[in-house]
Amino acid sequence: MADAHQHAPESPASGGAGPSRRDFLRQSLRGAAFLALGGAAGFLASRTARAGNIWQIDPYLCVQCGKCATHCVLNPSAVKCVHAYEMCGYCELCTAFFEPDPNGLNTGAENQLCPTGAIVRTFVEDPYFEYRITEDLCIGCAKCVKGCTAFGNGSMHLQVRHDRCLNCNECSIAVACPAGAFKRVPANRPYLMKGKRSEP
Amino acid sequence: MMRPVPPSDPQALRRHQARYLLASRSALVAGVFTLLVAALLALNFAQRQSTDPLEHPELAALKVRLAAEPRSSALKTQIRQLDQELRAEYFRYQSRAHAGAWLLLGGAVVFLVSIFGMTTLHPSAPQPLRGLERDARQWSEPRRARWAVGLLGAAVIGGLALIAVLVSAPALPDSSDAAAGAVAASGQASPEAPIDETAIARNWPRFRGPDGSGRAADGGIPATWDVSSGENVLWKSPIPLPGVGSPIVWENLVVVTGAEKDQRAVYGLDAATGKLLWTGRGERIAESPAEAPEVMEDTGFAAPTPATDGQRVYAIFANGDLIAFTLKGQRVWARALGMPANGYGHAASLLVWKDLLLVPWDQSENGRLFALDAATGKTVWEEPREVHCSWTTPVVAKLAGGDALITAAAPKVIAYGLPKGEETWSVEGLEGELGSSPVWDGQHVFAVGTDSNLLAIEPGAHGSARVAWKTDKDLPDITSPLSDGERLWLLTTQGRVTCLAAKDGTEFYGQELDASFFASPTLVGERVLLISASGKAFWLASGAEYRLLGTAEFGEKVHASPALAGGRLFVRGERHLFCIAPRGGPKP
Amino acid sequence: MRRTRGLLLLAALAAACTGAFGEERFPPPEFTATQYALPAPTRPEARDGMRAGVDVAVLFGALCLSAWLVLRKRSRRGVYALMVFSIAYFGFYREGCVCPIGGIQNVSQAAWAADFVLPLSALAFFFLPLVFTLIFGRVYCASVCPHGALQDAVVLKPVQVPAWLDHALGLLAYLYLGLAVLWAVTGAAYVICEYDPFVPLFRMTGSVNMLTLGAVFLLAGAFVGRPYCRYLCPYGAILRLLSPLSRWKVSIYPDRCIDCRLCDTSCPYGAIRPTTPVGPAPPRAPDRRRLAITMVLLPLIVALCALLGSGLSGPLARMHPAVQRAEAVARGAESVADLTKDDADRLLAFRQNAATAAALPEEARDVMERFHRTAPWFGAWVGLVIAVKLIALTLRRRRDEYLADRGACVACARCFDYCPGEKGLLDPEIAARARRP
Repeated sequence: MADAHQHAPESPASGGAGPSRRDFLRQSLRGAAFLALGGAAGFLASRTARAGNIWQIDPYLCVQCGKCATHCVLNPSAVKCVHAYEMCGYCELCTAFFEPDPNGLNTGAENQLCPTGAIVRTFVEDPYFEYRITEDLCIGCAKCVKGCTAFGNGSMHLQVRHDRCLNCNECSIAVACPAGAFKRVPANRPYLMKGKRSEP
Repeated sequence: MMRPVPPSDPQALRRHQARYLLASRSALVAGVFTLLVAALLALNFAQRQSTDPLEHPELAALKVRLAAEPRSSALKTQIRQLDQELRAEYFRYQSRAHAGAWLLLGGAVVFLVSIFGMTTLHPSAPQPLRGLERDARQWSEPRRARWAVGLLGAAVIGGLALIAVLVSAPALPDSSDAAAGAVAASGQASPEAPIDETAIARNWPRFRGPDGSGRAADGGIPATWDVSSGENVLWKSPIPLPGVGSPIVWENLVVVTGAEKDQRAVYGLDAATGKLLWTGRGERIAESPAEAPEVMEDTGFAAPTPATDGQRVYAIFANGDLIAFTLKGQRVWARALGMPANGYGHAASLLVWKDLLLVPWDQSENGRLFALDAATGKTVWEEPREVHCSWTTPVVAKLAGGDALITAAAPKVIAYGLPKGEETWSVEGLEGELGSSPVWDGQHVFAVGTDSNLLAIEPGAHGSARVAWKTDKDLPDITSPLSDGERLWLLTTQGRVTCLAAKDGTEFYGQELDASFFASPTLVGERVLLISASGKAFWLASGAEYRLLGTAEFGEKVHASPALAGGRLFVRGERHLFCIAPRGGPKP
Repeated sequence: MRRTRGLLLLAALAAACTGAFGEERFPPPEFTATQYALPAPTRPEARDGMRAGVDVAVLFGALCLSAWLVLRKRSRRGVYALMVFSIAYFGFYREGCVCPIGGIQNVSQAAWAADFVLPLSALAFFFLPLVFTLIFGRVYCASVCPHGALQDAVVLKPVQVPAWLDHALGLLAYLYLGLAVLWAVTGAAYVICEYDPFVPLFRMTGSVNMLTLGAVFLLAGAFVGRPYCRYLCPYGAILRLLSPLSRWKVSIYPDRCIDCRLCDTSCPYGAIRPTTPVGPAPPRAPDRRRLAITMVLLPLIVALCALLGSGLSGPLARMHPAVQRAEAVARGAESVADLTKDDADRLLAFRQNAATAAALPEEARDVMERFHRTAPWFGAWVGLVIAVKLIALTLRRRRDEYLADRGACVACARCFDYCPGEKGLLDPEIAARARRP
């Protein structure tokens, strides 16, 4: 019994050449696998770039659905409102800042559209006011963007802020975006901002 | 064995036990702590789920109340306080969640390290007999595994088959369905609604107006304006892509086209404000010619004027691409007619008769006249055209025998019966490459053969026609004639305007204007509007004597003929679309 | 006064607005009274840049170290230390991204679509562990992969999963791999990343569902060793195929094996294969017959499944955002009232973007066409995986010692610590005597 066990490798059943035949098979398969991997890597190397692609919102496709605030893996979202000042009308009645039909044109909470008070309104000269986004407070809910786009010049728009974005391989906002506004853009041109001056 | 075994030395043993105790205690504490933090985090989250501080109903309710009593300062104070509290609560939630995550991580790490310490200090005894039974079973193991794999495989395949059978493939919208659906859902008239003749009459649905004759009601259009001060300029909107096609108007929508070598677009603007409502892209059409056509600089890539029937807008470009959009800019259908064989570039405009879209296609070879189903773009009929290349847009004349499409190209004027498209009559006598479109004033068809004659044709009752009179003096080569039934105006490119009697061709006057013209003359009530290539508008009285009523400037080149509807004059300049009308509402 | 005028204007614009993007309704002002300088929005740079190169270098170093620790040093302690490093660096510091598991999708999409940009680092991350596996076995899984290391670290009281169940569940990883590749090449979704249970834990933020899933996997991992690696990980599925070909392998002192089974009890992953029992083996004839039958059935199963796959192209295409949008439009054309919130948003977006809307049906049809072409291959893959597994299970091999299965072993080095031969506790003679009954 024990002998049978001990000498099993040499038993006629498995054949004396068994292990070496197997080793040969393994070696050739390994060689083939190496060749295949090398070929695949070489083929794919022609499609590589040093910098990869990162996510960005096309502001002209964005419909301000509000999902950027809720679907980002980060909380608060890496999507923030960005202001293209050159397009801004500096309106006294800013439809991005004020609720529809505001009680008064002042910064009282009852008049403000932004849920976190992230827009700072400052007087420039009569009759113009500047609107500036406090990015740390902005949650990317797009309420102001909606107001600005529907009734104003559309100078406020959403952008993925890359100092915050983790650049997930699969952006969970992009999955949820109803407009297909999320695009992969080259990492060296990471923004799709509105306004000419925003172009690098 | 090779792991630390409790030492035999009593002091060391005590130390060992103390260490184990420490490890187990800290494991317990860390475990409880971790669970607690997890529970708190879950609670934090649940609270946030039930009421989002940023969407708090109480705040919304207060704002509604404020709308009812806008002067209540108490309410305002209340809103401001609540708003501040809620925002603070929101950021507290954020920081709680953040801190909680780190605490949870810390707890879990301590727990794991303690457990690791416990197992190291007090390893469980190896159990060499544990797998004995299993080892002995190994001959039967593959059989079980085969069963398991077989069952799982069957379950997977069965599940997939079930999905394939039960879950239907996604129902995708048809291109036209999609557009129609969007229009129908947004409360527009359904595409099958009959075409309203009065609506056509009050709009400007094609080149030179409802009947292509360049006549409009006065509508109180101001005779003077000032583009720089904005006086009587209701709006002025830039048109991104260049084009010399004229604007068309349907109710509150103005449409112009623009194109360059490699891009084509149709723009829908708000007639009241000039706001660009939509841009219809002309790219991505199957079988569209890969290369840009060769055109003259003056003609460009968007010379034809689009047309509309109140349901769709149709546009054709220099490369023969033909596209239909809804009035909201959704593309309905598109087709490529092929590269036109036309040395100057294709320029004949489209027109719609009932549900047929008529496409003049006079080419240097294989010229045709297409009638397409306006809803789908499919060809209903096409007539071969044995004429020279031309740039004229036909008109529909209401003749005794029914509606006829009057076309003009050298050597003849041909009338086609509608809707079938059979040739009813033709009159020879035109020479040259015709750019001047024919007009119909109710009695005569006027067609200009640039190098030969102007023919005044009188259609007869039974599919016949005769030349009433003709002339070869001062013939235009680009602009089309204008007739009010009594008088006929001809305008040459070099700026000579001639007024003739419509019934016999007697000349009333001839006058040189110091300007050159590409835009056709337009009758605005009792006034004749001529717009020069440099953008200067001349207003003439429509009487038999030459009388200049006034001039006005657009400040940029104008090659397109104007459009008039709803008391507004729309003129396409080189870069802008102008709307001339007295100011009504507030200035935006 | 100004306010009421503004409101009037607002109402007028609201009426005129169809939701297209804003044009310049209010001309940007010329500031005359003040020296106002027009601010420009900031453009923080993307985080990437240099770090990708560092990551690849760290990966290479960690792979080398892992191979050395497992095959030369044979040290569980060393492996554990490296595991902790990997969890800290690739896991918590780099937040589980870049990783070769998700890289499968990028690589397959790049192979499919010529215009897809594949970062060099992603390519390196995908291929380096494959090459190392072909040489040293699954040393990547052992201690470099943060997913594997995290699960390895939480193993407390592992139960032995019965071999038949282990075989069956192991198939899921291959099916998942097929599905992920299908959805990646069609550009529909990166499901591996979307449903990765551990990355949200590494990030310490994410949707509650995913965080819960991660916690569940870790809790289950205390009792079932590395559940994700063994039954789901698509990259592990590839490595399981390559590892048996490796030049070097994990060995448990073959020359000194006394059949003590301690290695087997030490392995939480059921990767140790026992010796063939002493005594007469059952006849081979039935196995040969089964082999012949399954070999004949293989093309049939594959063809059938390919057919099934083509039937699945429609349902599978539903994963693609363009198809979802087109479908929402089609549904909206029937009845707007019955739409879900997401579909209503999609329909709204469709109506607001005339330019993209016009192209949408065409785009969706393109996608459907892609699925028509690829879905049969997915079906064939499902059939192939099942049939080949059945064939593999009819092959019989004799073993004379306790061996780590070359595919299933993740080179965690636990068994080294348990083997009496390892620490020289047994000299060959004692071993020989111990073998005697």
